[in-house]
Amino acid sequence: MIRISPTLVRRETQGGSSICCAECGHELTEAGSASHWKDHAALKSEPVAELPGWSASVHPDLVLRQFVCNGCGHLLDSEIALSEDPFLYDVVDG
Amino acid sequence: MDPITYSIIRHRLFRVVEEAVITLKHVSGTAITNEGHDLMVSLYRADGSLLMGGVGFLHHLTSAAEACKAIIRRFEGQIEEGDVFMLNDPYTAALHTSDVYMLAPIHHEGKLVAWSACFVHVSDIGAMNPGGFAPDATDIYSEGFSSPGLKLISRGELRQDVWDTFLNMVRSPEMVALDLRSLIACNNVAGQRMLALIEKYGADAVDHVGRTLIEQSEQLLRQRLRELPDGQWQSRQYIDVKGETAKVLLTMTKRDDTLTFDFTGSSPQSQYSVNCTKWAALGGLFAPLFPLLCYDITWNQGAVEPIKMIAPEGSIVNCTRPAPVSVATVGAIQSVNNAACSAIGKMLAASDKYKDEATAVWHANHFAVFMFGHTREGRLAIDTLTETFAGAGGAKTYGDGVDIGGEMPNPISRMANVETVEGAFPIRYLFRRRMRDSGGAGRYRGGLGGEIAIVPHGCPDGGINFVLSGKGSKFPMSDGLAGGTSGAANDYVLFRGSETGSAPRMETDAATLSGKPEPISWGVFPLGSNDAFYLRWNGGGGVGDPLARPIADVVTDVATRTVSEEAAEALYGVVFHNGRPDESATRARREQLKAERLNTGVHA
Repeated sequence: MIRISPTLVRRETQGGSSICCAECGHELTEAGSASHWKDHAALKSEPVAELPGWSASVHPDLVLRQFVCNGCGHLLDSEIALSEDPFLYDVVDG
Repeated sequence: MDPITYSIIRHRLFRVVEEAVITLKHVSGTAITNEGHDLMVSLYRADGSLLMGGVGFLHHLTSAAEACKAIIRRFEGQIEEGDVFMLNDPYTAALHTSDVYMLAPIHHEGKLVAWSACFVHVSDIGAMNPGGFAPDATDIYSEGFSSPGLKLISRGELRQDVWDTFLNMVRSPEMVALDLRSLIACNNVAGQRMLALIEKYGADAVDHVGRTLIEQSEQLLRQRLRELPDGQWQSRQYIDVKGETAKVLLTMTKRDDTLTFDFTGSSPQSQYSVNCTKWAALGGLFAPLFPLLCYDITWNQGAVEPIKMIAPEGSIVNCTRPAPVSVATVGAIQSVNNAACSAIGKMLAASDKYKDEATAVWHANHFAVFMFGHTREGRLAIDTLTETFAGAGGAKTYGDGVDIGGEMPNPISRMANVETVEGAFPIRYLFRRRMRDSGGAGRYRGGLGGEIAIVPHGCPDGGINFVLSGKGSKFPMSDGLAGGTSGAANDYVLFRGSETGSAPRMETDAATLSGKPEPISWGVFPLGSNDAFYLRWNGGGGVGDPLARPIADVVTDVATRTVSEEAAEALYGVVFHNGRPDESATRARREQLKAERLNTGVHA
């Protein structure tokens, strides 16, 4: 099992290796496949302006994206972005 | 060379820089230098390459190296003992015109052996807006005096014509003169101490240590990079100015012992002065790189070698002349800094060995408020609100960020005492405190930013004016890590026309400020006798899942007014009833929030 972030690991499988939730081991996607693990996680997206502590000046199209393990509900990553912008894709080789 | 002599010389090189910084502060009289520590001193080798990076704003370490090289090219054959050169053109090497580099060659027995270089943000540079940050500027020509290199002191003699010409073009020339003298004094001390070192150990020995230190730094950084996983990490920053949104997009790729920062995909250069030049962008990425990857490696040219930057020409991170850049240091440069901090943090967090060195982004949005007006003594004063340097720590993978905890690119930044500002400027603080809920949520919480409100006080003109280069109210910039959220964004509000009459204003928080609120962000604004200016600054990013934060920690957060009860329930799932935590309701709330993530979440 190889760490690729504080919330994700790469695990060896029969067919190769997979990106998995570090908390519960749920497999998100095959490592090295064309699709990124974020495309297979549950995504919760909500307007940043509705979060406590934020000013009324915050851009109305700004969202907090939370990428969640569909196995255990653990938060895997988050990013704040304009709703039309693509996900940020991080890739650890191996 | 024996290792003890080597270590002594290495240590003495550090001390040369430190003593030069002390000298600079003793001579300079501005709050931005003495309180905010918006300064830098470093030593360079004879060819201009970085020998010993000093403290202060780390963005400047590589840019000042380029400034040395530019002077070497321009003045080839004319660089003599006792000369001092000045350079502040952003398209040559500087970050923006108001950060003036002073560069002094150090000669030993007639031979050029090194350079000392330093900068301060001078009180004024003659730009269209006072203080150097010029939100109204449309091009570099409206951003004040700008030199690609001139000789200010020739063989120890001040060139009075050059000195007078420069001071003739700036506001508050007496303070700017003090700024220049502080830089000259700083270089004098650095040069004297370097010569003392050479006299004691010999020029060859000092040169040998310099070369070896550079070789070691390169070897050590390459070795560290080899220990980190190969991969690619992305980060994105938004910069908002008057409805125009620009992006700084970074893809950082680590292969074997090299690291490439690619800003392809970033926005075209802006019509506003938030752009930066390529040397400034390079400095911006090195500011977090030095402390995060080279915390135990000497900051010199060797640490620069394994790093490559790709910055498309004509973009906001490599603008072309005559694009305006006066707000670069708190604009594109800081966004480059933030993006690099985020990407490096994610790379470190992917490593078992280095995960504890990872961090969310620290204080990511300077607000650059320059006040100008007449003091009670009738003197024109220009100075900054140094709260911008107070910062906020990003969370780590093992602990919370430090409240008002400084910033990554300047390890010695700080803010002035309220009384110091009130003594120097005709204003009064209504309050200054930590800003509740401003730290990014996470298993480890980001450090809080702060909030202040100021009013004019004893102004002979009935009020003052201030220049605000205040991007960052629409977009947070202190990114979180591994699920942690960003610190809250900045906010700037003018409260116009209080009806308190002649009674002293005693408001103690934003909710009680009287007057008509007017959100502002960019430009020059009057602060009249019945007005108040409210400002809050961003907190640091959080790390990890907020629902994993121990309940006891959240209870402490609420008790210390770090987190509100509303945020405790909404973000951390900790429920309070009548001011006390409710354990069973908290368990239920956390389960509910987890279920909501799965139920309302959709597969992307």
